[in-house]
Amino acid sequence: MAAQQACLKIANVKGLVAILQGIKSSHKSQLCTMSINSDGVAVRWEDASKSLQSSVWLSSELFSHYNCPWARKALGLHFAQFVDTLNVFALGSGAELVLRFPGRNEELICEMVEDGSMAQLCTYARIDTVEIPFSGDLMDSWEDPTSFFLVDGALLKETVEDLEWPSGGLTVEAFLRRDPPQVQFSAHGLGDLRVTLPASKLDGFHCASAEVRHSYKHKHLRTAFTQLPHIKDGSSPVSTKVSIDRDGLMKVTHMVSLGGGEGILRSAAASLADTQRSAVAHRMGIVQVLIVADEEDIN
Amino acid sequence: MKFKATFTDRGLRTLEKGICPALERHGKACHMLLSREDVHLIQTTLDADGMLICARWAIDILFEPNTYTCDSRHNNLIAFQLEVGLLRRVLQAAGAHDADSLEVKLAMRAVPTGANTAPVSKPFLTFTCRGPNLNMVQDLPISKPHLPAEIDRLVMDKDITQVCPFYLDLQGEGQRIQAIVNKLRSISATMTLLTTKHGHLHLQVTAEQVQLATEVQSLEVLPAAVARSAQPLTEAAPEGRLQEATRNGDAASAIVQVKHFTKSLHSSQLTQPAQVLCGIGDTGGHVHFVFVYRDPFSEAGYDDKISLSYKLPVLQENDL
Repeated sequence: MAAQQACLKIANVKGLVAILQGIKSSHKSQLCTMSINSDGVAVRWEDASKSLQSSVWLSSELFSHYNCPWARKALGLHFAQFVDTLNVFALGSGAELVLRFPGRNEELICEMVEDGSMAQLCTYARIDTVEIPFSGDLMDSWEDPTSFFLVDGALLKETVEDLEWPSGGLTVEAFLRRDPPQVQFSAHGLGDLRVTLPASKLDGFHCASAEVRHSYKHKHLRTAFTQLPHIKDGSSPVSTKVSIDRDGLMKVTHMVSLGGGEGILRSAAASLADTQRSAVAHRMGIVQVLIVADEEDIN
Repeated sequence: MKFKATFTDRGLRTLEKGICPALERHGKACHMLLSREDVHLIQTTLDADGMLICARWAIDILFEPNTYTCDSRHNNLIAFQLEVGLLRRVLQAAGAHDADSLEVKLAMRAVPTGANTAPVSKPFLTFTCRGPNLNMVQDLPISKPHLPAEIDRLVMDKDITQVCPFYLDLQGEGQRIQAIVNKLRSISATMTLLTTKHGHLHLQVTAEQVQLATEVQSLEVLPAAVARSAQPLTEAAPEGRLQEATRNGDAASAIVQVKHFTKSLHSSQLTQPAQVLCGIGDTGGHVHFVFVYRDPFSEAGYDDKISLSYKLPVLQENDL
């Protein structure tokens, strides 16, 4: 057994599975990168077109036990198998899931021990790791100035779903105006639809220039806005922050509660760092989706 | 060839509510084998997707003993094939009328085949239901009675399952095991089943990149002497325990289809067994489920007059 092994314990496996399922949509790209850092775990997935990256950040404070002997270590996993395997553990009686890495063959080990009415149940899995599928982070190319706004995730989900038919599901244009503040999504093609988000629902609106206009693939927006479990069943509001950099790179950040479904709509936070701090305090996972603007269609 | 009998209340209930629905999960058709001592409902490997299913009643449980007639020129054995679903519906209809008695007999009846052709004589099971308000007669079509050679093969089929060296009783943990197996299905269609003399059941599935396994501990081992003969385990982790048990010759393993296993557990619950015994054949040649029922008329014992057993086909390593 390797001398240095990370050992993490988490109780809410159902929440973990739900949040992971929220970041992937296409079946073309099967691999994801998991990195176990001294301060938390990140799972990152990249669309085959390389124009979308999504990730989940789980701070070490979400785990009941967190022991990581190194600063950062990354491993490649088959996403579907990883989620399927975790799903087997999710049906358990709420016992803690123990994740260990690495095993004898560099595999990820999952273990769970449940005490039943009469019999003890031990479930364990070994998930083989693969070569890290990609390492580039779209965030590295982030260029200020940044425009951003915060809004209830459910509202954006409806907007994106409504925008499917006019574009034939191809591209959607996002438009931000500084004065008066306005956020508008529009799609043209088979039909024509413009959705203006009500100003009263916007929080912390900031527009870097007088107008910002970029278009994005509809399927990417769908991945970014419609898949999170809390948004899907509408049980609790999800705070969603949308930021757009100078070149149109869009960053969508959701705060998703892992503490048993009690999502709290965060009030406007001045910076992302603030939101992250409050997320930790409320046992929330952070889902982040980065989408490259689809500039060809504009011209 | 003659078969005639009147159902007992208990026989009717176990057949209609328990065995018939359980068999229906596995296949449409089944064989009924009648002898002077007992009645079998058998689904062969052709009827039940590779599994062999055999339900048995002693005559006096299913039928009133003094009403039972079963005569044939082949050792007084009669066998034929029928549709389980139809049988269940006939019994259901009879049961719904709160009948005083339900009689069944084997009969030939002329069936018209068209305007210009002569009627053909076909075999039926005729159910006559007598009650305070109405008498009802239902004819259930069956296959031609089996030839002596076919009967012999059926008798051999049902006897072929040898008793396994030891069994584990899964009934107490049935629901949890069912839940686990349902999830394992998403990973692989086949799984390795391991039983140890310590009363541990291991379920393992392997996919291209994943190995997943569950160990269920503290199951009752039958016969109890086997559990006492097992060498104590020292390893702390489930994988280690399994390796140790295998090394000591205290474990048995077989590869089965997940759907067979889960169907077996699920359908057996319809019959409300007191014990679900799962064993692996001597050389890992088959997996044997035996369902044991409680005798409602005695406090202590289990009932050996009703039994249901499944034999699951085993895949060899090179089949995978």
